[in-house]
Amino acid sequence: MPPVGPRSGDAIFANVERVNAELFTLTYGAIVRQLLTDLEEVEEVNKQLDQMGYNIGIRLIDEFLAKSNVSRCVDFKETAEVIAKIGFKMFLGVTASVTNWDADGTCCSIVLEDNPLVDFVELPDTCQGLYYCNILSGVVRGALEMVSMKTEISWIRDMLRGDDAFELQVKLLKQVPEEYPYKDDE
Amino acid sequence: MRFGSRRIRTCVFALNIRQVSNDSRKPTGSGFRTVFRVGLIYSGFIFESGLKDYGSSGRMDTNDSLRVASLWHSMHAISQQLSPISGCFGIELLQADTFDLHCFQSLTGTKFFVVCEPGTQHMEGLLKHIYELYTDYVLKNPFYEMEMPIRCELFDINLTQAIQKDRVALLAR
Amino acid sequence: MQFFGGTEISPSLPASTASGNNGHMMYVFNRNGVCLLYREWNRPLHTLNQQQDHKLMFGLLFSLKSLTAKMDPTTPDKANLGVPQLPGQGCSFHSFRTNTYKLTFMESPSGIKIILVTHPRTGDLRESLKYIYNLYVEYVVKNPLYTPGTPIRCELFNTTLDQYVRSIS
Repeated sequence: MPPVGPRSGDAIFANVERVNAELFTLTYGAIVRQLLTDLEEVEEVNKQLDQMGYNIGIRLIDEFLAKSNVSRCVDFKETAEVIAKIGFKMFLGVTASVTNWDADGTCCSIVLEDNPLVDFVELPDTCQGLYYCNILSGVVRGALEMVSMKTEISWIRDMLRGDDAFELQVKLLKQVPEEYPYKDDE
Repeated sequence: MRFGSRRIRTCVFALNIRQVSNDSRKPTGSGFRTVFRVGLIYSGFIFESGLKDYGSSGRMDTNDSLRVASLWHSMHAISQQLSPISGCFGIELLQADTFDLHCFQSLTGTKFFVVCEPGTQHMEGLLKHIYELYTDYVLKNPFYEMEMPIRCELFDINLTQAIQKDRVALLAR
Repeated sequence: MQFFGGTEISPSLPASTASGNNGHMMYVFNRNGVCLLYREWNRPLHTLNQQQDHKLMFGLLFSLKSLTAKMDPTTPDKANLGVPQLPGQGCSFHSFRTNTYKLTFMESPSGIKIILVTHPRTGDLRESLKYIYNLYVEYVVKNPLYTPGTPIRCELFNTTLDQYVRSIS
């Protein structure tokens, strides 16, 4: 059986079930609004969005692997490319690019020109510290953690704050080798 | 699979593992622990033949082969214990990403391995033949000390011949 | 087969030539060695209690993987036997056979291990395991009430699985 190469993001995107983009955008907006009401602090909302994203990411990774035919994620560089080219296309319908690699290949940026989450959004003055799309950073972090890559993710550029694109910095902290999970004396 | 110009990679190990009467047959819950316990009990009964001639890269040294042998031995035992029906004699064929490992076990407990390209046929026959060679040129040799590493030139020669013949047979097909 | 709203399951159902009860049992483990699922269809012989059995199975796979990584004849530089490896690193294996059964093994980069034990003469089941992985994604991972890392209690998944395994030849 010859090894099957990864499927393209477009091919998968064409085949998955879709919902109305506006319904999705409005639902996400409503969630962020509700969190702001419940938690009051913008910082807390950022944290909560990241946590929600993380919970999504640790599930989404299996869907991604099952549909994309990706069988190994050992190399961080390759993994980042796959996330940007296949992952974002598959789940958000947009293509991201990977840039700004540092010298030792452990830190890069994922740049989104287009982001369906922020259609219709204008940040009010009271929410200037809010990372509206912080759920995305959580998703990426959770998904990478499931393939044994501990990462730290931060926003470098945000269109809602007047930048020209969305830029997520992904920093690889460490790759965790697989250990024998059971203690000796059981 | 490539035919005609096919390169046959065959490495043969014959392992002679002493039967031990202690608890190696009853692995504890943790497979790994057993492995290393067994590893300590056995010592050098490894025979390696012509590994370098058959295109295996990264030849294992004696210590490595020993560890692999003891690990295999306990995997064999565990695979019997996990069988859904009784009468299991252990692993006969292991299909890895880059090679197939065929294992033949004589009734006396000596194990013979062939490591070959995925999908190579007729390895059971080759192993049986090697077993015959072993009985002829090793066991019948009065100067061979039981359970010691095999250093019998006649065996080496015949083994090399058997593998080459196998290679020719495969190429001719 | 009707999935939730017709989501595509890939690869599509592998064709089976003849049906029969070839499945003995199946295990699903996660990376931490938790047995997420154990299904048994035909297993007259039990030598251990269930917990020990699961641990032994997981240990066997773990050790066989380090064995194949060490024995790989195509890679010159290999780590020592038993040294922890990154997921996806090193040569792994996809099946082994004894005179009484055949075990097919698949591992996803996220650490999900699926093990299917069948009749020794069943053919190549790698596509079938991929299909089962897809079932797992549809029925388990996407179930919002399922907590990742806990044993699977999902009737719909079990019935679909039973039905599918019965069709494997």
